[in-house]
Amino acid sequence: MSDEDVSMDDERLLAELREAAAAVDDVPREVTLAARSAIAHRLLDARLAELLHDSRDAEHKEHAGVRSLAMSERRLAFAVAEDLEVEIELQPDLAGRFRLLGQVVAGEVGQVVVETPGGDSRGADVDDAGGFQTAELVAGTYRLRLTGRDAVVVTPWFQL
Amino acid sequence: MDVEDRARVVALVEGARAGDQIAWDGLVARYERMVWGIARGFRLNTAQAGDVAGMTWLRVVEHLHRIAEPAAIGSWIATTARRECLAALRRSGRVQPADDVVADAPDVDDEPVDARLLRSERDRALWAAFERLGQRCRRLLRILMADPPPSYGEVSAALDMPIGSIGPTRMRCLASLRELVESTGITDASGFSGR
Repeated sequence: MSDEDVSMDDERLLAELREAAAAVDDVPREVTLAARSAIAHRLLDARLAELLHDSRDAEHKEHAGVRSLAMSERRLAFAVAEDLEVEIELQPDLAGRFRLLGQVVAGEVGQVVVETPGGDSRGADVDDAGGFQTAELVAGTYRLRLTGRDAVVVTPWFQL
Repeated sequence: MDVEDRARVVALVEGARAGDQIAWDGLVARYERMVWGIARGFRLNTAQAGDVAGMTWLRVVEHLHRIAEPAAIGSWIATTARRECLAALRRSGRVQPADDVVADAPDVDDEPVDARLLRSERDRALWAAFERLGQRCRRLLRILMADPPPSYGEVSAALDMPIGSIGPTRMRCLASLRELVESTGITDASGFSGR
């Protein structure tokens, strides 16, 4: 950072602010611990799918400036090139939880696992038509791990 | 960022890519206050800021192998944190989705920090003055308060601000801060009054 105009007074003031921030508004310990644990979720041999579509983003654009009264169910689509494509729909229930309904659109998927950053995982069987679903999911961060014939694909994390 | 610093960051990224927990912890230690400062600069409450931080670091892990320039990972992290902040603000209704203009009004969820944690009257006056600054200055200074201090490239990415304007804006904001502190008439132990 090369800034000829920086004065010692400015530097000193900023240093005081920096100390104050560390005293009253530092990173909470649990946030640091969560950050450190993120490396446990690295991909290793799995491929990262791409998020093709998130209906929530599309809705935000459409309803710019206007709060929608009734949001339709959120749909997400993920793909790995031409090899694999999966769509999921998230159905909220009255208790603020979600049922995840999925459909393999392209490619072969034998098993689906829903994972959380906290390390929980829940399996879902894929039926003959490529459909799968999970029970009530609470609001949070999730991704899918899709196991095919000889490859494993994970979707990017998404937030419910 | 000097040559040694740059080499240090590259080593941390390479270690993290190989799954080395200690290297990863080093990366987190280096940039977590920047991420926190970005989120708090956008006036997200601690729960929202925690979510932003959580998702940002998950994204870093997702993209570790694809980041083109490991030495520039700080800017990548800052950009990602910014994106997560805007998404959080959209979800809480504080942003016009069409143009990413962020409402200036303080969020009702914004908890005041516990200023009693500041030891001196001057520090309390300083923080109170900081909180009275306009949105632009508050965001800039809150990021600059990160330890270690962010590079101008990282600040530029976090605030979508041209690098060339950071220095002058910083100077102006610190001058405004000084004026606010002076107007309270509070001096520090050595009689120095925030000149």
